[in-house]
Amino acid sequence: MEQFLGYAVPGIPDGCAYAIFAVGLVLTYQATGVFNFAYGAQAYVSAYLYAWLIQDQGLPVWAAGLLAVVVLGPGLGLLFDRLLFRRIPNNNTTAKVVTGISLLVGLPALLSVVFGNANVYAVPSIAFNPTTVYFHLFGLAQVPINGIFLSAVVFTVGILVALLVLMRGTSLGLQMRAAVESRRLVQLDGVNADRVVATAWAVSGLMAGLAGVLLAPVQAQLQVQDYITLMVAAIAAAAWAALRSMPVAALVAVAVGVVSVTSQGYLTANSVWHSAVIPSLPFIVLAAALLIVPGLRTLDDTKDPLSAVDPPAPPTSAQGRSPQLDRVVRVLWWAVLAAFVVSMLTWMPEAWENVFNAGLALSTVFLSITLITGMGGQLSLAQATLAGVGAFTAGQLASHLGLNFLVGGLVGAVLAAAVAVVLAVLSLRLRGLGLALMTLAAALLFDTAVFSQSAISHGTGGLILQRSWLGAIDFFDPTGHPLFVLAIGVLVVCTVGVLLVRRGTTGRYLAAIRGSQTGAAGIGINLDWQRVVVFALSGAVAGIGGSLLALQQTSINPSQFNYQLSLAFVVIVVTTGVGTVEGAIQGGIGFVVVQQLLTYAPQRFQGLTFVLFAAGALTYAAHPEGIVEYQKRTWTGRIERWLGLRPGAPGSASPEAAQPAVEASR
Amino acid sequence: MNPLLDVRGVTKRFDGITAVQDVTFQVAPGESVGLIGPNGAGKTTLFNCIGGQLRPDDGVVVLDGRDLDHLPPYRRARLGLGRTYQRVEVFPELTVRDHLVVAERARRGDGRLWKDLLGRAAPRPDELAHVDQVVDLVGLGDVAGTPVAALGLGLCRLVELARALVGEPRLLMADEPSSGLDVHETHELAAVLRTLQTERHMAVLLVEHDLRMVGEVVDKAIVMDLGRVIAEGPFDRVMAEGAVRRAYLGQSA
Repeated sequence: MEQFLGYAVPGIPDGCAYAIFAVGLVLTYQATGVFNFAYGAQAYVSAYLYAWLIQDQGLPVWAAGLLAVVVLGPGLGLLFDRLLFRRIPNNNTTAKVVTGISLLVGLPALLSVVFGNANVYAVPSIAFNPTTVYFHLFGLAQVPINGIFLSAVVFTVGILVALLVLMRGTSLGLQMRAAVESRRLVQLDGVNADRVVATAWAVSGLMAGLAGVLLAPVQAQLQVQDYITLMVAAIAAAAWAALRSMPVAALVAVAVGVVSVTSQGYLTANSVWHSAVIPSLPFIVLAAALLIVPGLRTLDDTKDPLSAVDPPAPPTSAQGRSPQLDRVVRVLWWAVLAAFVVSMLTWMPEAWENVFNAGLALSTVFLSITLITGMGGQLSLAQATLAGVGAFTAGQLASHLGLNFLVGGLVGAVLAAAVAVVLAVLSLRLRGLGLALMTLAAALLFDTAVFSQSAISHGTGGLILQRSWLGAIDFFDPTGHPLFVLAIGVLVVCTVGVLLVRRGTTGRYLAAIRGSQTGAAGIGINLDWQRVVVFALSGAVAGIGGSLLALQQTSINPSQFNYQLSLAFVVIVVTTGVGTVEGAIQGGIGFVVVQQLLTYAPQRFQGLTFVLFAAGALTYAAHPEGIVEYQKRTWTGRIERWLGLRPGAPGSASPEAAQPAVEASR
Repeated sequence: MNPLLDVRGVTKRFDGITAVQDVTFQVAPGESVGLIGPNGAGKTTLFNCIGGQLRPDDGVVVLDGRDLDHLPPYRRARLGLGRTYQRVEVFPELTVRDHLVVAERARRGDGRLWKDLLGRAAPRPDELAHVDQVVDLVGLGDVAGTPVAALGLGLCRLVELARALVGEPRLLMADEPSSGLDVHETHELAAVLRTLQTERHMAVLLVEHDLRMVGEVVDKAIVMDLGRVIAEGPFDRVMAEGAVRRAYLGQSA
């Protein structure tokens, strides 16, 4: 018993850390209708500012805590509401998820640009000294109660009670819950719904700030990854509460923390259980919740009684170019492509040839996002994982069986497609947010339980590609150009494949499903089968892209394919245009070019790439076709009017203007 | 003659509210039946139970001798059940013609991926001929190449109707097809439905509030109130019944 307590009690602070996040996520969802993916980043920003105020500005702990929690926390929440989430219609789940992920990717990057990227260590505690042992539980020597334990338990219980009183016992709480169901209906009752929702965001921001500052001293170094991992673990608990009940979320969170720490104590170190299963416990719990909890299947169903009067959602691709201009643009594209190929094969410096090769490989991975999100209408947060499955399969087959890496890449694509199909089949009953969370759980499972295994990845150093894996052609010699020819050849084949699918019956079925699932099923389209098909295609393309990326980087390691990259990939492609193959290629090339250009700037500006793309993705709600695509259309519209090719405003819905749109939108 | 559609004892409850209670009726092949009743009578819920969008808690739905229980909506559509919706369910990005091509192929279960990848998925001449025939029948010829997002509500309803018709269903279920149409358009729609019934021997199950249109189209009317069938028979006779006038028109008999 003493041994059990000795193992279990240290799990309680972990569980409480999950619980604080889980309760915050449920609160935000209950009070604003937004599942706030940015919650971990919000907490991190407060923690970072808190540490900065103390360590750099010399403020006393209480003043820094007050500023970080009471001023910055709610301030960020209010900013999110005012600038972003208020403008997103409640039924647009994809836009809400994309906005949250953009903030999650962009905010920490912005911090490092503004404050520099020096490491932050040993953040002081706001209450209770973390290392001091205050007493022993039941007087047992094995169960010391230190400051971390005390602050975790005291604050978790305090926060939970305060929020329950707010949501269940006050009229403000009632108004918040009503505003989530229908902001318009609440307004008809004379309530200022905007103010109610803004208050909810402020309270949720306060919670995030408090969580950030409380958890900062727990780890030796302040790192955003810890906050995001913590948040994802908390999502598991929130999911078991169907994003509804704060006490259930808190209880599950504590249970997850206690079970994982306790079982670690009993299991032998170095076993698979110890190294793979226990660390991925929160993600297994999340996947299980998504499979079992019925409330998570209807998250995206609108509850607004006034929604019946809403017009159908506007299409994302009904604006096009006139046939004349379309021809011009097409010729220009071919010219640019030809110039690019010639340049790469003749005068391009080695460094830049490498950059563009990486861009081509990334573009191939991004095409998988065009397939799954642009055509399938589903948000997947596991595309880097699928790319990793392809790359590691090719690497393992080459190193163990001596299979040529290029052939292995094709096998890897098949395996990645198979993984995607399993994911699709498991999540057939989920849509929107639920599906996004399922893919995120899968990505984290692969990160912690598969890619991290040294049998698969040879540890953090990764698999180093061997020349002997590649047969006669030397893909490592940049001046020999075979890698470039391979990369552009693969990209062209994949692009043509995606275009053919899109113009074919499958593409039309998918367009129908994006428009109306009910209508599509009602004419005989098998929605489940179409989803499996698009996942399989997307997985295969991602797998091929992953192998190509590994080839370009001459190594395969877990950090090339982790979940954070999956999130970043979505943000990039959403910015450049998720609905077109051009968008994927612009995303791939644009990302590597911006990153390469920033190597000429001071070190702290490295994160600017993510800030830029995240800022672009924040416009998703207004421009679902992608801000780059939107600008392109605006400018081609202007050029058309200057040239007199098309009268009137761009995007006018006249039949003459609209007719070539579908043909023209590639 | 065996009925085409046989609905027996269908009941659907939502959290204690019984939306449809023990409803039984039949539709013969080529017969036109109007399903009428005040708002909240359970007409659309019943439609969804027949179409497979909802699963009834009790009772069976049989189409041409085949029990539809456990069949998802797309399988029912392929068996010859076409429908339109109270709230339009169109595909904004597709043109009117593409709507019909998609519906035509979906009903046949056509759409092999390899055909797409070999570039052999363009609409065939015979498909286009059939599609254009339906487009002309419904009167959408002028906008056949227009994305549906650019069309008004009335035209969207016609697109839904055309999309259902292109699959040549044996039973067409139309849910308030005339809402959003003006008097003239409604009259034309009624004429189209009559033509389908007489020339193509298509059975029609119609939910409609425009009683004049119902009178023009249907052979038989079924009146529902609070989830139950309260009257059934020829339209004129049913509308004269006291219970119907009380429930539906709010008049004292």
